[in-house]
Amino acid sequence: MNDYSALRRFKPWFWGVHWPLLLVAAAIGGFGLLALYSAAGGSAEPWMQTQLVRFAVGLLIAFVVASVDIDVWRRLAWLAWFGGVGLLLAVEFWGVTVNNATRWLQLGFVTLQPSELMRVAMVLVLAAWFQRFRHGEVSKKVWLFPVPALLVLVPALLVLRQPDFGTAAMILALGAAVIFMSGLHLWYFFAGAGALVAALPLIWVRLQEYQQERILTFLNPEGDPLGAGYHTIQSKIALGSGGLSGKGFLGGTQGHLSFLPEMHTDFIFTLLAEEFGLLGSVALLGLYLSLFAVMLFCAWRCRGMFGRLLVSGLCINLALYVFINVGMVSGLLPVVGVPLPLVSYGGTVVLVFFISLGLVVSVSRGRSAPAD
Amino acid sequence: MPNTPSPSPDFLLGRDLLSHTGAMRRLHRHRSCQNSGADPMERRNLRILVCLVLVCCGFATIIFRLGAVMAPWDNDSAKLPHPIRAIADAAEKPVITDRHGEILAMDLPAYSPYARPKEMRNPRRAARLLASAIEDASPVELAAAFQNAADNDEPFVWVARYISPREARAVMKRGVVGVEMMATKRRSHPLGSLASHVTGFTDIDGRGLAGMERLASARAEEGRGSGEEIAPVALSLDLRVQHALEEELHATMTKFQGKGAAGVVMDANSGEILAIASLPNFHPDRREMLNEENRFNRATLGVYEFGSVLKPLTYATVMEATPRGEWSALFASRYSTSPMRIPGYTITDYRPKHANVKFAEGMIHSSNVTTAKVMRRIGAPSLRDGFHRLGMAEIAPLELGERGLPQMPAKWGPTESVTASYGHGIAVSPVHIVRAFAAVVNGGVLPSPTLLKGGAAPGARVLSAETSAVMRRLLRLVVLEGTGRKADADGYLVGGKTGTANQVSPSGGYDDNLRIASFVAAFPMDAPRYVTFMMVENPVPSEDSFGFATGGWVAASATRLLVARIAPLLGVLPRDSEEFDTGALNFLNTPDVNAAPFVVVNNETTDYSPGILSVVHNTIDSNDIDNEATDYKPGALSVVHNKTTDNETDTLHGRPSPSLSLNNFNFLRAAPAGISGRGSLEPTARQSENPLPLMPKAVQEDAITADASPVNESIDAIDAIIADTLSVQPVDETVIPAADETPADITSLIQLVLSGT
Repeated sequence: MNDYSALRRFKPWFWGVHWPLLLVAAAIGGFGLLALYSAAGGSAEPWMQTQLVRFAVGLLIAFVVASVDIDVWRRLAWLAWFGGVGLLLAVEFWGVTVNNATRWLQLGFVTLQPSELMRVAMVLVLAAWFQRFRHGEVSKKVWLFPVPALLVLVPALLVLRQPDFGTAAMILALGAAVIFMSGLHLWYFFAGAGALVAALPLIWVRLQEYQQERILTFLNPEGDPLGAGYHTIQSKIALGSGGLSGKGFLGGTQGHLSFLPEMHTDFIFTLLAEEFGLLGSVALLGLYLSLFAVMLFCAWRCRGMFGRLLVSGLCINLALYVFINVGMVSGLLPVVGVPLPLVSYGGTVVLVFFISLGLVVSVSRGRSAPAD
Repeated sequence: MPNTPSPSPDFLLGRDLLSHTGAMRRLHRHRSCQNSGADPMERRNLRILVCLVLVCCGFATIIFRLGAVMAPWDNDSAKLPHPIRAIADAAEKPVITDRHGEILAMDLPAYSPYARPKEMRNPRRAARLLASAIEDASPVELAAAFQNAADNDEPFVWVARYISPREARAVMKRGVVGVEMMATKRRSHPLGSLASHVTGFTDIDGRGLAGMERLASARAEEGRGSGEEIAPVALSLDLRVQHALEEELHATMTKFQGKGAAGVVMDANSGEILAIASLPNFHPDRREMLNEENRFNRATLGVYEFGSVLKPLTYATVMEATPRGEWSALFASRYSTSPMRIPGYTITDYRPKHANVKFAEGMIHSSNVTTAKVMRRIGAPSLRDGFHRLGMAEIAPLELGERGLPQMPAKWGPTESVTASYGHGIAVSPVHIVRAFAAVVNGGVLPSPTLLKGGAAPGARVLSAETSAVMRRLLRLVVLEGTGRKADADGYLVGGKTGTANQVSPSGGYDDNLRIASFVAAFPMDAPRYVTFMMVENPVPSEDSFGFATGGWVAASATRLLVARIAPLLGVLPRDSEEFDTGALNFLNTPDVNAAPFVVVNNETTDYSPGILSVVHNTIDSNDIDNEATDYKPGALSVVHNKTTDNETDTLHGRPSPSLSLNNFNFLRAAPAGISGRGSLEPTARQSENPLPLMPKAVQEDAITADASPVNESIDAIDAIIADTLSVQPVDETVIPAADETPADITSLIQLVLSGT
């Protein structure tokens, strides 16, 4: 009897866990661990071990985040946003400079990239702000629009100062996506796009030379984008050498021969593609896609504006990571420093991923509750 | 807060999906087209669907992109530009080693960056960056190459070939777009110019173009796809000897300011070439050194009029064409060295003797007139046939592609045969000389030269052993008393022949300033194991040489230094010069031309009986000898020369020696009585009376065919055995097995011989 009641107590907890999300995330994380193992030349040192610890910590955080009611997170949204902006400002003053860009913040034992966390905070605050409206209602209250615009532009400009053009563009795109989900009339988007085009020359002047060159490469594939092009070409070589089924685990050469710097971070997909081939790459992308589908399904089922915007915004954020990273590796997009969530070595993106996961689960748990 | 109705999720889902279909949307628009916020629920879900579709589109794009980049149907190697494909397809080439396994040529990993100029935005900047990463690159040249390729719409251009891993890394760090790296193999020649003409060189893609690299390439092609590793190409070269040869050649060439030089060291019996060099040479990996002058292989491809070094061939041919019975007359014949007129020419000697010289002296002092007159004893057709037999008319059999076609007189008239007899009007390569000379000294077997270890084909008998034995003595005398004195490396019993020949100038006619000084030699002369040849092209007389630049000065000195260096390496032990009796007095001090008091008959059937038997003369009675000589049957005779000084007296006075050593006694016992003149020995009783028991036949042959080491201690025993077996061994067309590469262990040979006693 006693056992039975224990089981009864266990059952709701068990079904409270969002298993599809967790399993898909575990599969992606498994890919990532394999890749890091291979990148170190078949050794758990120095990356895989650390990453495994991060996964464990991240999972714990995800459970904590998920178990907190979504309403709490909604109230904390503004705090998170200001905290994020504060971190970005801290980077401005105390940041660690790597490769001519100041993006990292040394926080004791961990190096943080606040711009990544900022995006989660931004999605959170946008969702919280739009929560007061019905879908599309914001179109009729355009005088309020500077508020979400500022919520997006302030972090974007701060990130651009680092300088990190890629992340800034991602923040803008993410903000636009969340606002789109809020139901703002399409005409505003067309107008915004027009304004952006008009502002391009101004932005261009402010860009660093290497950033200009990267964009030129992207726009003009015949060009000679120093720095950026090298990565792209080497990764294309690595991808091409993978073929259909790959060279087998630990069988890659391009990555191991150190032809690819940052191989264990931003360019790790190259290594996976070389060793697992086209089939393996598509399998990984399929995992990501199913993750995003599950997330969007959560958003779909969510009745509240906050939950829906939050979940779809987090989903788009992660999808942008994947899309830009793989697009960059395969030469489709200019090279920007965007990691592959749960596969690239790096703490911040793991944190972002698990916080996102926790928030999504929290939202999905709260959906049965009366909507806002 | 706007609240929305909350139907069941399933219903919601279905409705949302339906709302997306055309019919429902048209219905909606129709029903509430003016109302912008008609159904917020459906619109917001529509936006999520749009979002999903966008994500799917994005993923579809990158998957499509990945497919394009990684697709197996879009094979990378098929897409590669042609030169790269050629390299990728190139078979792995075998290593080339010398006979001891020292590596002369091997494949090494290397990197070759190449550019796709079309993808470059700023070729000049790219060139500058690349040049800073690659040691030998020039930014100007690279920029020009890129620009040129871009202008001509070429999709591909090499940035550099075969740079080091360090440079490759530097190139990658520059990160120039449009530049890619090809990991490949580079043919490397670690020993540089050593034996470069043998090793040869490859094109930049590693395909052999010259030398043994061609053979290696051919073997790589043969072995292609078999999956087996191709065995190394083991050359017959001994790099120690090769190095000595090249150094001595270079020293001599420098000393006499020669234009070029060449040299060969060959195993006199097997035909394996231990060293072969041509100067100037080249480093196979340095392309700038591969000019025509350096590439030219004087030792195999160059054909020259060598002059007097061909005299031994004439002498051997004359002897071969002369019946044995007339040899004594031949040796005793005398010739005037006054200038000799033939149609169109007057032949003179370099150093006229102003006296009648004997047959041997014609060789020793290198008299053209004498040689011509000696040649006339047999006539032009015989000389031609003799030269043909000695391989002078054919391209020398050798694994190299660079082999010269000899130039022989078109017709052998009186003039041509006379000039050919002393080496003019006939042009051959050094390999030809070495090969023919080997036959002259090794017992009469023309070897088939080879550059592969153990690759020699059996030789063919072209001269009788007796001829060879006489020639060895004559050639030894050249070094002891004649023009080749500078070649006498102490203790190694060098014999050889000088050659100094003016060359035809480009304007026609012989030019006194263009000459080839050469020396062909063999050592040790009692049983030659190695034949050497050295030549210097256009040596300039120096003060050191007292104004001479002849073969005797230039090449003979070099040969002495060479032999002194390589003989110890090759296991040839120095010996007392007296051990090889040249029979000088027999040749030179013949008292009466008309009644030659001696016959020179060689009783060696093979060259593997070193220093055992010598030319022998009979000391009894000139009449007897004449008779016996007439009755001479090849191979059945064994005439022994007594080594004591008494014998010289005997020779001179025709008296028997009062005392005979045991050594000679044994010989005489073994020899036919009629020849030896010792009545106590009966030919029929010879075998049974032999005090030394005979060894089994196989052992005998082993002992005979074993390598030619000086075995003084065992001379008696071996002498007896050989003398005994000669009578039953066929002489003609004996195929000599390839000699062992290393000298036989002396003690084991002794044991082998003695075990039979």
